[in-house]
Amino acid sequence: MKKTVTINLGGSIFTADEDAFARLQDYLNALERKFKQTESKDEILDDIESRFAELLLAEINTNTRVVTLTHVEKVIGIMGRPEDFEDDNGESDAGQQHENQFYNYINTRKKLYRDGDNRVIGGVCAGLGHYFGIDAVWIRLAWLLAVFSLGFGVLIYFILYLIMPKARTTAEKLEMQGKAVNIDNIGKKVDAEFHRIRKSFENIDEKKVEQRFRKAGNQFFGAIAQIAQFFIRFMSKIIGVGMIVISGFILFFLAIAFIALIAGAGTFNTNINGVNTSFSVWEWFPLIFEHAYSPYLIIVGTALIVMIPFVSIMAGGISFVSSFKGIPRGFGMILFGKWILGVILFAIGIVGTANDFSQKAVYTENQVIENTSDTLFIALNTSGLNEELLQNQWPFWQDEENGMVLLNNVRLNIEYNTTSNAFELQKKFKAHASKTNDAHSKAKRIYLQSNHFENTLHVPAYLSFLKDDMWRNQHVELVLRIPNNKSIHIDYQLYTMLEPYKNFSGDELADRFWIMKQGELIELN
Amino acid sequence: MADFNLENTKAQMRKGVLEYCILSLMQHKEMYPSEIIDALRSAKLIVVEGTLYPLLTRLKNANILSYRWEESKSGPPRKYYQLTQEGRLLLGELKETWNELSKAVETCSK
Repeated sequence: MKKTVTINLGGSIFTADEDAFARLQDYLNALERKFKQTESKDEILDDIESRFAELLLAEINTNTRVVTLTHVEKVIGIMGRPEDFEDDNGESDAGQQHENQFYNYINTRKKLYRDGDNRVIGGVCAGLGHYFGIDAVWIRLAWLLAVFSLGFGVLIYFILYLIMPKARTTAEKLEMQGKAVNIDNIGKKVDAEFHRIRKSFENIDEKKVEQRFRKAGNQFFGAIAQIAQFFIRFMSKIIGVGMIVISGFILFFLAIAFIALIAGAGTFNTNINGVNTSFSVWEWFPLIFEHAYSPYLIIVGTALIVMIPFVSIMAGGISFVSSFKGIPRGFGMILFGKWILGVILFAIGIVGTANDFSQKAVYTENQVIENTSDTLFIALNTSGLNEELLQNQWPFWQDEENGMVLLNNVRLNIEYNTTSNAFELQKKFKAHASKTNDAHSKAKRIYLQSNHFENTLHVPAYLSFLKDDMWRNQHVELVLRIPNNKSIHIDYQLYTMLEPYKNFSGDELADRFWIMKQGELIELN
Repeated sequence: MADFNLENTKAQMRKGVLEYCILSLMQHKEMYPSEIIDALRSAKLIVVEGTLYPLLTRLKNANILSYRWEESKSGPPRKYYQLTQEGRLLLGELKETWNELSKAVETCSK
């Protein structure tokens, strides 16, 4: 009497006795092993299983209820044993004897050997790779990283080198890879070795020169050549790792910086005109960019332009390390395409904004200064200015309450007045926009408060304009026209605003008494 | 490899021929695997069923063959394979090659 098992084979239900079940299981496992490395292995196995079920169904259709060993063996005979399958090399393994241990790819215990055949230096990493079932490249990579970033690793390598024996005999080599050591495998291995040796004998003609060298006792050169070769291979991998690590770091920080910038960070501390200023870009972007998307386009565009070169360095490094197998083709084109995209985005962002600054207009106001004396004092007008601003002298400032923006974009020029006998102050308001009349309106709306009393002309360092007008390079040029034989004294505080006159610089002109004589400024003591 | 391996050479011959025969069989109609085996057997090209499945799958992955499922009253559903457009082009080329080769073989074995 035998036990029976209910099985589902390819979707059909069978009742099989225990012998048949065991045999079937062996068969299916063997198939699994045979196609382990094949693409679409699941599909193939499903097909075979379905077909097996079909044949089995035909076998038991003669009133027998239970699938017996005989049935299974018969169907196996029809389908073929796994080793009878002609694989992609057209060969079948039918040459092997397959008594009860048909399927010889059992993973026996692996032993840790040094792999002399696949070594870069000593085969330590290759051997480790076999033992753990990882590609040796990763182990080498990890080792190199350890050596360069942590410092140790060389010592470990030496220790492993001494401990791990080299796999010399064929049996040892098979044990290293975990293949069963039996006659068949050894036979194959020996065959392969034979062919390798024969091949090297065949190339003997080409190697004659090299061999003469060696015969003459210059094994030294041979060894150096080998060392050089290993060194080059070794170095290229090190360089590859270096490239990956460095570009990786850079990309990491760049990515963080750009993401932070887009998320709203972006407070910069810079030194402008000798003043330490701190400002947040996102506060000012709305004043520059007409459209909300422009700054984003520019930032993303810049990010792509800057980061992609580093990505390509990293890809290069990966190529070196993986012996040019790691990067798929066409990757370079994709990178380049993205870089071009960055350029395009950047250009769109910039061009849109540049247009807003393309036209310039000037609005001029003339003012005659009624001075009672022949000497005019010029001082700084600080009325109405915020305390903090006065103290820190920031170049720009937003007055949120009144919706105004303050800039210290005011220049003071000195001119020789030939047309009248009085001091004159000319205010030139300048602004940019996409259209000229718009620029003109913006220029007109620039606000500059100057006043004159007690022989002193008070001139502000800051101009202001409406926030709604946006920042369009508003600046003011003040021209102080001095008639013949009149004198001036410009307060020291204005020296940064002063343009040079003739051969006197701004800071030379300030804080001194000057008299205008025929267009020349002469110092008065 | 410089040495001569009889088994290898025979196998190489069989492999090329097998694929060509299978594709030829399907130029007129679609077939399912056991049909293909029977056809091959009657053409005296004996091949074990298990060899066929990986081969057919490989051809399907290379877009030379395509298949459709058909339910069968007596058992599990079947895959009916047929040539794709690309498969037909390929078959044409193989046919030319085969003719060239067989003429060459004939000439050489006189």
